[in-house]
Amino acid sequence: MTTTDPSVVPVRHGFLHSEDEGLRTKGYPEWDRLRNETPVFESDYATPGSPQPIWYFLDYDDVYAILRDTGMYSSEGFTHPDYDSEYMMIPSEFDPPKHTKYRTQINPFFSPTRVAQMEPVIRSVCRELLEELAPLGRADVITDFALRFPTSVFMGMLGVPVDDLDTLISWVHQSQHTSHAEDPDGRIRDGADRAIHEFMGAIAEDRKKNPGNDIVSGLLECRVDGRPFNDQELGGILYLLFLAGLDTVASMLGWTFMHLAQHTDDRKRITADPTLSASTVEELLRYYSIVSITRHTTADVEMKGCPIKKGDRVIVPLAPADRDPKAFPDAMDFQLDRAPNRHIAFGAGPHRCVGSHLARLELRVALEEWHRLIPDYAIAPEADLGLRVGMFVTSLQSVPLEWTPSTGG
Amino acid sequence: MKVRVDQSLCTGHARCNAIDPDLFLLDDVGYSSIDTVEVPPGLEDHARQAEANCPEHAISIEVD
Repeated sequence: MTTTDPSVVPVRHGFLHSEDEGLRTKGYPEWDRLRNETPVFESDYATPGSPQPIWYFLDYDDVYAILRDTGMYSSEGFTHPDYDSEYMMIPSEFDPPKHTKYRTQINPFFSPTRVAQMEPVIRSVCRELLEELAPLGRADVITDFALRFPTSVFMGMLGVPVDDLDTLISWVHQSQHTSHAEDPDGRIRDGADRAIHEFMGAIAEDRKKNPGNDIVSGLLECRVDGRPFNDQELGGILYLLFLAGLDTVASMLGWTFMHLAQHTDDRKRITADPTLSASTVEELLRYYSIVSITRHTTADVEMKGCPIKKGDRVIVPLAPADRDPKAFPDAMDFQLDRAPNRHIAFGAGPHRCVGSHLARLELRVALEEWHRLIPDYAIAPEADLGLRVGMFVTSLQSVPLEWTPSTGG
Repeated sequence: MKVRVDQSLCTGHARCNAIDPDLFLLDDVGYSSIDTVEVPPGLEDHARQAEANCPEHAISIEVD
């Protein structure tokens, strides 16, 4: 088979994962079907702001190769592909070597050691939320827990009181969960992004005068090329930390409790043996990889027979890669003690999620604390989970659970 | 047995360190700080697990 003939690369007309009906209704199994049928394909989906074809790669090996090749597959401008925005996530939208200069400054705040020191605080935040929920006998995992827990942790890192959580959560929702169809000119998303920047900017201004032990004060001490971050850079970094830290963990918590509500054996195993929590988190990350990553090419390139032109969009969803049977034995089996588990749910290459250690800790603590207080639960009858395949994050909008509250404390 | 970490490939997932924090040392910010080290007897399985678990394929094993 010749691979230089463009006609061998299948085309899915008008496909964009965030607008695809099959993915929206069937979720992860649909990624599996797409990967099995067409591990590589072209889409002619285009918008006025982004007229180039999009190339999709779904196999683990291809996704991995693209994520590592930051010279060919650039991250610049990926966060706002369909309208002009003055806001960018820093350093996610920089390519190495520029990316490296910023990333090395941010890494220390999220190192495994630094994150481990936060465990007692994170656990008490989690416990406090769950102690309110446990006696109620019912809760929506998303609105009552998943959005609140990581947001409260992040507010603690910022050194800001948690008094307007709902506003922050609504900004995340508008910024990240608004589709192109709902917001063709980007006005809704732009408004939320502006609000986030103003909120963060006010904290930064305060910390310049009153430095503390919080992450904003720490970022003000950082240096690139011998100078502090300017306001735009600081805004871009805080914007990234705000959105990437809140939306992703919240989404994973939704999938986590959906899975464990539906799979009694798994739930009983981790309740009986909390030491399985860490490997369960890894398997949840693999089986329900939520992130899709967008790049564009910096030159003409042929990849797996695709004649990709300079500037074309390349999308690598991590879900079909992490469920690829060529990379994982019995990939469709959820094995909470799977080993090895070489998933790339946090990406791969230099852009590997900087918050991955914090995310892992929050997920593990949530598993441990939830099952200590609420070991047995089920999804409420006739629940609509509201699956949403976003451009970047796949999430559930509602996971209503019911349980029998324990009596006598 | 020796285990080698290619630091040019390491991007700080720290999965190896989660398997054996004493064998797979990290630097201050969580990237691997080892090059080639002798695997102490009894820890061969940890080395093999880490090799198979590393998302960046940065770990390799050399058997004497």
